Amino acid sequence: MLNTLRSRLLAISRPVTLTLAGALLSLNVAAILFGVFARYIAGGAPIWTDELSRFLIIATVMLAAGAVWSEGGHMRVGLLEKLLPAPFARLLNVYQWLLTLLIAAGGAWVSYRYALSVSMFTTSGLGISRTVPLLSLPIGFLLLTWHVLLYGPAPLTTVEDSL
Amino acid sequence: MTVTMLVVFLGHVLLGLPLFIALLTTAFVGFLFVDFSMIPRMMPQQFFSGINVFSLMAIPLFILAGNLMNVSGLTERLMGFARLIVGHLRGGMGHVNVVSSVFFAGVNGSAVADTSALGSLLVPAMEKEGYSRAFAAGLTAGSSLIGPIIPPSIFMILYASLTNTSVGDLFLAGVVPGMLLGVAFMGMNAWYAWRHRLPKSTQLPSLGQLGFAFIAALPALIAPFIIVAGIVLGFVTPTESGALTALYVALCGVMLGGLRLKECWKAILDTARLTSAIFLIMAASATISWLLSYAQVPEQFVSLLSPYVDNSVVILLLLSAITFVTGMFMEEVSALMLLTPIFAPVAMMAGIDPIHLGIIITLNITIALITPPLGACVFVAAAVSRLEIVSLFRTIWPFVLTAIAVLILLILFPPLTLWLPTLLG
Amino acid sequence: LIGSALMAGNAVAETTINLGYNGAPDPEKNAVHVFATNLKELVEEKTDNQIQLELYPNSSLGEEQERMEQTMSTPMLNVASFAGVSPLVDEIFVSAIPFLFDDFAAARTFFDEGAYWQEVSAALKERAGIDMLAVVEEGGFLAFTNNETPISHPDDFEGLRFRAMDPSQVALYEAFGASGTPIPWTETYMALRTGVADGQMNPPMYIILGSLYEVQDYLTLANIQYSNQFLVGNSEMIAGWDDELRGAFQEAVAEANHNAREHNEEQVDSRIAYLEEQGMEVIRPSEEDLSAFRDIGQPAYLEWLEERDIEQRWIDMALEDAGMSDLLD
Ligand code: NA
Ligand code: NA
Repeated sequence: MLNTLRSRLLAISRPVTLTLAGALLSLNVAAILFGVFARYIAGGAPIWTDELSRFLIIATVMLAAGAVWSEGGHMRVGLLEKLLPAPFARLLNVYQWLLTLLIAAGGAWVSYRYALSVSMFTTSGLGISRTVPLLSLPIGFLLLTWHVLLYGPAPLTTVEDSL
Repeated sequence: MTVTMLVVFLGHVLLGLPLFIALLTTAFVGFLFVDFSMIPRMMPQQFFSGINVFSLMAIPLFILAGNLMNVSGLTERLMGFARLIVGHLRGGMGHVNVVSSVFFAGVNGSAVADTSALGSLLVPAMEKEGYSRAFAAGLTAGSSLIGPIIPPSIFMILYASLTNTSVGDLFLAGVVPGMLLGVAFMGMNAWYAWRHRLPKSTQLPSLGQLGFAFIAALPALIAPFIIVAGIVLGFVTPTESGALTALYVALCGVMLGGLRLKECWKAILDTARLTSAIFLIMAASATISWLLSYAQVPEQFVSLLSPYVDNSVVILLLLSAITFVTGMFMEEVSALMLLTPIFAPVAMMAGIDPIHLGIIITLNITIALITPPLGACVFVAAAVSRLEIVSLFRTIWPFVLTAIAVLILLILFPPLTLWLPTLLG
Repeated sequence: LIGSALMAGNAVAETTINLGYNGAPDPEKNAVHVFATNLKELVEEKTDNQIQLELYPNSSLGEEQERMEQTMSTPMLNVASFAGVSPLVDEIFVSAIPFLFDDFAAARTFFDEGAYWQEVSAALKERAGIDMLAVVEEGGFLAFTNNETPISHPDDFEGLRFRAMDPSQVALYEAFGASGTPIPWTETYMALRTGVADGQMNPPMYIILGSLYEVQDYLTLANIQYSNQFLVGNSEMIAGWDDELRGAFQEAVAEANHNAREHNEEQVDSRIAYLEEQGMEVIRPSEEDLSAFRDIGQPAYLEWLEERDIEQRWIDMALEDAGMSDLLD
């Protein structure tokens, strides 16, 4: 019962976050192209495209982090768990899971505090508070925590299995 | 501190943690040594600033261009043209593999995209011609190294942003070394084909066929010239060039038929996935880089190597050896990010041209893509050719050695890299 | 006896303070590095080694904004440029009004004694807990360079394309009838060489640093803007020192800054001579032409400041300090 709920939630949140990430990436391409066309056709480039593009990519990266983790898409060496006898491999998976969970949750908390602490800085291009782009970090780490929790301490797939 | 961090890092890599988690764990442990109270500020600050760099934004765009190439049918056109040029030679399909990589390199910035795109089509074709599957997969992985050496190149963009060198000059400097790699791998392939008495096609392609294939491949063939010229002449930044390339490839795909919105979206999602994987590693590496420079590790390293600065060849060989060993155990982007700030001052002291150093480091890092146990291209080549990874680890070494031979050639003769940027720059 | 003397000497705890700045640790090329090494020497000497400085060149502690964040929250010193201070005190752009100073003496008086700069310092302290310790000269006044025509009057700009560093520069070029395109510093040489841009503006130090004299024929010394960086420090740290220590430290800062200014002024003439030797034609506009630059350039910049929503009182103060209140009418 709990397991079906977990896998159902995972099956929803994975494509949803990836779709959002893809949308931000497309927006980024559009912003950069707009900058080029503005420079050569309209005769003057806006100064905020550079900054917008950076913030969009960082948001893309952080949004997709959890979904990519649950797909086994983050680069890693999965050799040891295949060589170890099953009980040890299981133990190893638990350690991987716990450490990732710890780093993700810690990262969310620490980066949230940090993002709030730099609100007095104004970004040079968009003229917004530095907190805004930095919030990508806690949101991303939170999504990572969420996906790690949903996935549970099961073995992760690696690049060579997935292709 | 450095030793503990190294042990923690390698330990967690071997335990199978995702690299960015292993890197963050390592940084955390390192901060405990220096000053615990810095963690809440410095870790998120450097994590963010490590990827808050405009020139890095070119990376997702060139990945996107590569992905769009594959779904728009342009990759197949390139391969078809390569087949007509070199396919009739002995070991024709092997040559096709290398030449396609050279063509593909002109649009694509990453080796992994090259391996997966060409490998799935060419490994079976090579097997049919009598190659062993291991050699075919090895050649696919090996020749994919040409991708990041011939412009555009993600590694060079990264190097340029770390050292404030001109991306345009680096791109130009990569053209000759990339061709050299191509020639070297074709030589290897010819030797293999001759030794195994592979068949030779007696049928030469007609001029008409050749012209037809050339025209079909033309849109993809001219793309690299547009990219490089735009950057070198200063019309666009590398990032803008990436966006324009992606747009160009997508438009070609639509006009030549074949590219639909659904595939386009799939290419975008795949790009988002890979970008997330790469950038998280870069962000996590940045926290370690900052810590190392705060603890003045680069200065210690410089003083360690300073007895040899009179001889730039020795310095480059030493730096290459260090990169090679590091690259065996580390993901390439993070290795590049960690090593470049440490190497650049040493090379400056030895009077090495930063462009030359950039090509040497890039080639080194690229070779790390096919060195066991942690070479991304080996993994992908094994996967697309359905080969046991360990057996590919055995057959990959001749390809590694060939690439190293090219590397040494470049170290001994700097004009091989510097000639083109000096000529056109 | 020796033991007790040693103990007495160590009675006051030594502290090591980090000083971060931009650019390579190369005294030939980096004026800020010369200032930093001199400051380190003087601080250690004048405080009897109670304060020791650890130098971090090459932005190795972080880029501009990151170093400012660190200065806010940890005991450290930092040499910031405009890019570091302006996200906290946007009003600092007022001090970059073009053609504001006739010479070094005028600029130094403006920063050392003016009411505007005191307000900027107070704002920085209030908003971020950072003390503004010194305005450090780094390369002389900005000059125009280009490879089309000897520019001696704003009219000569007509139709030229200029590399711009930020939007304020674009506004200035457009006021002169030229156009401005943002090009990063690392790509500037190529852009000038290939004709993507015809010219740019920078102090002579940077023109030499970037070998721009190879691709630019004309150098116009129009004293466009004063080129400076800012020594800042964590307020809490400085307030925490006893009066004697703080006094010694401030003395060291003042002396190091004085030395840096002398060094800079000395270098400027030899740098211009060097550029002349490399084949650049040096143009020194007449008083009349300089006021033409001023009359066209300043209103455009003031308009840009207005677009940035900078309160008028800051502009009033700065112009008053610079003896240019006539612009206010
Ligand atoms: Na390439
Ligand atoms: Na590797």
